[in-house]
Amino acid sequence: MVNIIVELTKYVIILLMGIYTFSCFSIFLQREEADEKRVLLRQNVLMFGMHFMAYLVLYLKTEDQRVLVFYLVQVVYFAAVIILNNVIYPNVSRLVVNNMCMLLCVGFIVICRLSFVSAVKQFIFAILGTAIGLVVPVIIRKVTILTDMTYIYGGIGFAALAVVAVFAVSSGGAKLGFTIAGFGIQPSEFVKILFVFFVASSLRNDTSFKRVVITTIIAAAHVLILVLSTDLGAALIYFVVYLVMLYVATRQPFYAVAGLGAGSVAAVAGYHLFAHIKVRVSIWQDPFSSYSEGGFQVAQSLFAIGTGSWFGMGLYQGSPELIPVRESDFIFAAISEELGLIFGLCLILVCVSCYIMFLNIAMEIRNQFYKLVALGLGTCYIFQVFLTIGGVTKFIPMTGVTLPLVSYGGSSILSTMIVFGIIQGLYIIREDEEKKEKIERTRERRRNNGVGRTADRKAKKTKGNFEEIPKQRVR
Amino acid sequence: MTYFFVILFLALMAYLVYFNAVQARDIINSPYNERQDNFADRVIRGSITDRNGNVLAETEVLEDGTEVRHYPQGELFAHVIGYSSQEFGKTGLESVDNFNLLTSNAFFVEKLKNEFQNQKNRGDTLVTTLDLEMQRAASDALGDNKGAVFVMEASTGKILVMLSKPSYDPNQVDDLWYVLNSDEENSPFLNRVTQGQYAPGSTFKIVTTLEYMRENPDYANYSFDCTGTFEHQNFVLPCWTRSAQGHLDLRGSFAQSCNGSYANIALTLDRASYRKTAEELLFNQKLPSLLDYSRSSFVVSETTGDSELMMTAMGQGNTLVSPYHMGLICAAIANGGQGYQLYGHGNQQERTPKLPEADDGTRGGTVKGIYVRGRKRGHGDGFKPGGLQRGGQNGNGGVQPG
Repeated sequence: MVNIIVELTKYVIILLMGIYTFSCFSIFLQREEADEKRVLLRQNVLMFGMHFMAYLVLYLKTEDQRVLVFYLVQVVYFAAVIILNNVIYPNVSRLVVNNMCMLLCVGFIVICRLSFVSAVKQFIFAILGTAIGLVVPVIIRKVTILTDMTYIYGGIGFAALAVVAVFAVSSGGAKLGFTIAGFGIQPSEFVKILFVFFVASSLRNDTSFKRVVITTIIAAAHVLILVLSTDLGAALIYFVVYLVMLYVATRQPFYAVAGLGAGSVAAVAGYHLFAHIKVRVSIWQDPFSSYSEGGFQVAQSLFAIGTGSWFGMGLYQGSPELIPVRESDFIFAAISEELGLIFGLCLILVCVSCYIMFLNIAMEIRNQFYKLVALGLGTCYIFQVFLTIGGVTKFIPMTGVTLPLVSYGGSSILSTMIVFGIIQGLYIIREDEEKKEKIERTRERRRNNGVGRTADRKAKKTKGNFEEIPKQRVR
Repeated sequence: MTYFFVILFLALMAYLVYFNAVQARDIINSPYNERQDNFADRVIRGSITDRNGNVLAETEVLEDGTEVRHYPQGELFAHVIGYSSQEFGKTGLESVDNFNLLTSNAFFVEKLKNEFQNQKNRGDTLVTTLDLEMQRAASDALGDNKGAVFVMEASTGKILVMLSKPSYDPNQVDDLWYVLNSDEENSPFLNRVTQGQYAPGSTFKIVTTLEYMRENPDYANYSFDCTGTFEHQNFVLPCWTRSAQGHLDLRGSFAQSCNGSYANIALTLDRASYRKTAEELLFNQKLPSLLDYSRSSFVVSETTGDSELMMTAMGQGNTLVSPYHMGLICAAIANGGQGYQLYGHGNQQERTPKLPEADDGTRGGTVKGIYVRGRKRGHGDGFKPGGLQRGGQNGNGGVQPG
């Protein structure tokens, strides 16, 4: 009987996830604010529905009271996150909040199925992250000095990475971080944010050749030190983020082409210099023939995804315990096995939807520094998603990065929630900008009263390009 | 910029769909996939039948619910079907198709009904291309000799017979495994068709002929006078009939399987190119096979001496090959130069030809012409019904002590 419930909820979960994913994109078509609100509310309902179904199965299968308690605590948590964000920051993007909750929710379901203890740890980090994430928008909005601390960002970031490279203990062939009081800390996850701030601040209003050279040298130092500590996934992310930011800041295709060229040369050189890159590539080419030399990771992941097929095995019906590092790097395989590839594809689309919202704010915001920050963080996020899912599915060689918000890992979840907090802060700033513009415009109109529309337009043009954050706010 | 990531993700998602729709089936069948065995908790292992529906393996559920794997044909199909044992694992098609046997593709209503009644679903039945009658005929013909019989339908690549002797009874594997496994004299677990390594004998003249034709576009003008023995540098080689066969062209040499003529041909061959041709025919290479196999070896190189080269050309020398591999080559030639992958599967999908083309169409056709003629004219009495693989040449892969 339980098997039938598992079997049926499996399809219900996919259906709910499917509708949710669809609404992530269809919401852009809504013209009326009321319609948009309705869609957003429906998303919340869908998420809670899915959450309930999944935990029902988890409880029926484990018959563990703790799961029940854990479920209720999570419901309170999600409700609190959604309500708090609405009350404190009415101007934030609610789609981003919903997506964040959705991704966390998927993570809680899968991690809880894999290991209850890990899920609780993850949950604690999520609460911590939420608390920080609620403060971050205020900091972004109030602390104007953030724009100018170019070398402080660069210096701290580089120093943190250097400490890791020198002192950290190698795990799985890569030096990633330290373990303090049972919790692993992975500085490169946080330095990512500093790095984006550094580049944005450095290139915000000066894109002369000299400035570009200086910035590139410091950025390259970051990437190199990551390569030295063999954290290749992070090195690749930093590199791509820098290229994208540089290109958007300068609008010079030459830089992009030169960067790509240098990257290709570096990749080839790296392939010949580092044995473990060769291993990764050969595993990617054929995980089965190099099964015992590490290929089993990807092979097991492919077995899991293939066995799960479109609709998945259903929670507790598969064997995700066979997948190595299933809670973090390979979580996508565990998800696909039990919840199905359709669910997995929806999950990818939800991540893409987050990215679109990141780009959306990058496009709308006027201030160049914040524009670059949004763009850099967005690139960082989506490229990491691509690396992890691509690696797990053998689309690209495995790089060993986590799926943000879904994978188990304190540093990963904290840093991602800070990133989401920053993006929310930018939405608020954008709102301020709009208000300021409106005020400027009405003032302008009042001043030029009777002069006519032509003058109005001219005034708008000259005023349109301000670079500073609006200091004056009306609330 | 944005487009770049959008394209990246579209490609990733397209790949995932492709992976699941096309590649996944083969990948999850891998014996490394331990997941499969968990299915046994919910599914009764499916049956295996020959192409006419005769059961070769089935699972019987006893009254107390225990499941027993039963092989009605006993040792007749032991190597190709293999065994499935809790204790000793799985071999043969039982291992290769484990996933399909433990998956039920029954209509979902039926599956739901079974769930409600708390009954296990039946796994899918695997319909092979094997033929019970032919396998039996092959077994009778082979008698108590050690050896192997392999019959393949050349036009499709369907395997009809795969027989290896000495064999064992898969019904008794659980009781006799240690005895069978330590029997080094008979090695009953060895599938001599795919894992046996034998000197190819005269069948190898196919490869030699092909190489000669590649090196000499005017091969039609080849001629040789057989005197019953062939001498080269103090090396005397008697022909297999020990009698002179007179004037022979290439066709005649092949049809009569004249050793002297092939020794003569061997001396004209370029060693590196000979090896290349052999490797194109998958000597020293991986073979397309679902079952475990041994790689064939061909060791001619620039430093190989004349006498060894002459022996190699007629299938002696240091060349080792499995009956399966030789069968593939013959089938490829019979099929006009196109090879096929082993296909013992129920899904009637043709697998992509993996054996590289023996040659371009015309020459492949010519070899085929010679080959078929050799069968008619020559000494192909050992030819069995449907057994294109043995063709005209009496190889000794069949009855060699192994």
